[in-house]
Amino acid sequence: MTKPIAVFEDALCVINIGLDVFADDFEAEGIEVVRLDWRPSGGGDPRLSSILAQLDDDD
Amino acid sequence: MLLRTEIWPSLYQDSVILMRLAGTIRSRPGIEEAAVFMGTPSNQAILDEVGLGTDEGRKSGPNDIIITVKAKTESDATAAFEAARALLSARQTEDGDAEEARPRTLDSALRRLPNANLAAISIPGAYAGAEALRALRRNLNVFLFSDNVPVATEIALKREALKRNLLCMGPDCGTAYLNGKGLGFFNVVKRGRVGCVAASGTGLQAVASRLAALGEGISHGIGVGGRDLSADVGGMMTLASLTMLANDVSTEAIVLISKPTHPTVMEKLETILGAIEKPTVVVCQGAPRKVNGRTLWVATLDDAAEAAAAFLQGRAWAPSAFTDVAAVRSRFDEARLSLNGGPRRIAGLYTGGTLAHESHLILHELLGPIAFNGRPYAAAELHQIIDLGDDAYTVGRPHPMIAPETRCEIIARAGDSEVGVLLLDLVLGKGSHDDPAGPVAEALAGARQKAAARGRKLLAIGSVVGTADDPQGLDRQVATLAGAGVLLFPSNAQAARFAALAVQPDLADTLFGELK
Repeated sequence: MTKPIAVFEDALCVINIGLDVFADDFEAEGIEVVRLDWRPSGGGDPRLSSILAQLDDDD
Repeated sequence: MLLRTEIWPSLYQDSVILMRLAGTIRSRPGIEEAAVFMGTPSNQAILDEVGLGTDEGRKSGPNDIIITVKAKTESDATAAFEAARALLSARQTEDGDAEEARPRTLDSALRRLPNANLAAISIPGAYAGAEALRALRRNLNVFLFSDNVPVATEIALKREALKRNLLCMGPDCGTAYLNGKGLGFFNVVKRGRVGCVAASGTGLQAVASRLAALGEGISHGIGVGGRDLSADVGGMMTLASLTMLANDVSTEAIVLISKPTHPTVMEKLETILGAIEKPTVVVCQGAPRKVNGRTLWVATLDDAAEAAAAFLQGRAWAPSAFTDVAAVRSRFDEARLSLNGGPRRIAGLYTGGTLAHESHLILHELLGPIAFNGRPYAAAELHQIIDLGDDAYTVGRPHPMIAPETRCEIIARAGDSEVGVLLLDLVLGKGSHDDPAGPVAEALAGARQKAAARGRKLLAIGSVVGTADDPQGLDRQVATLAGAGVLLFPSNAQAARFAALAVQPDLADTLFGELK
């Protein structure tokens, strides 16, 4: 069922996937951030990577 | 010139790091060009397109770094590779501990940060949809900076987000604010009472900066990406975000920065807007001005900011061509004298896409047909506006808001062209170049010298999107441009109108008349 989006009331707390400069900016603003060590999954095949994302929705 | 390639296997790095490596190599003696990319299929295609594709490079994979240089000698190439290797290893040593500690999966990141409520995603577009879906399914809101995400993926992501009452900002979301905190490329503004929904990053930056100048701050600025209002995506995130802002107690007025909206979406948009009980301003480029209940439709980004601020501050407001009429009149005489007898063509060289489109519309209305994009200075008879952030100008290069070189090369050539007026923007804020005005001033001086040698004058007109709290400092950037003789205006729309006035002085009646 619908529930109000919590982001407006909570402090931002971020997982950064990609450019480090963005994580640096979050930290400079006092936002808690964890940087993911991201690299292409599925051996770098975008289609396989997308299928893997579809499959792992239950954990 | 020699073309040499090195592959550094299994060493994934983000595009900002790669850009810095490329910059370091390019600045080396004997190096004409350098490209540093991850070996993804799309990057391989780019390398081929810019003539830097090599057989060695084509053998690399998405986790390998390809470095290709055009060098004068073999030793120049070797020295450049060594310099890049030194830079990267220095960075790795610096970040060594942090790198080791970084989680490799979203689930392990979540174990470390169980209160996480947002995933900020800025990886290559081909992979970004998969990560965004993972994040949404773990009940994280998503800020999706990546572009080149297929529209079908965007639709699936936004459906998933709405099912879970989450935000999916993007793909191709350059700027956002949540709880007054900026995301992506943003201007530093105070938290305030204006809530924005924006289909354009620079549009949101322009409105937030202008609001800051008028003493107002931002509660939330929800970026939705440029395709949200298309028939395919159906305005999913725009409509949901408007409703959220309508219910948000910290938001007292709403600004919607829209893109041309599909008629079926427009109908839904009008319904939502009609139900909002807060003053709401809509800027939708090309849509007519109108008042509809509590919703005011305006023509330009600065009108949107001015109208919202006026609502909140209890002032009457009506659109006007210029803020400071007296100043414009005196500059008008100066500009008219300067252009007397010389070429009267305008070239608008933009780093902000929405600003470029806004100028195109304004000039088109005042001056007739205007060329958009294409080869700089190529339109023989026409005025021309160029969005240098368009894919056509950024193949293998960073966006002009980050790297001013491409625009500066074009500015420098204006002195040899048939152009009399340069129309420019400057976008400050986090993410942008640390001194964008400096290189522009230098390039302009060179162009002016060339023009003077041909007995001509070159008029430069512009505006700056920025705030006093931006890292570049608004005053400093304005002073640099003013020192270089750029006639600066409080907004892009006013700068564009003045450019039209400079080349066609009989518009004075229309433009000044509007102010009476």
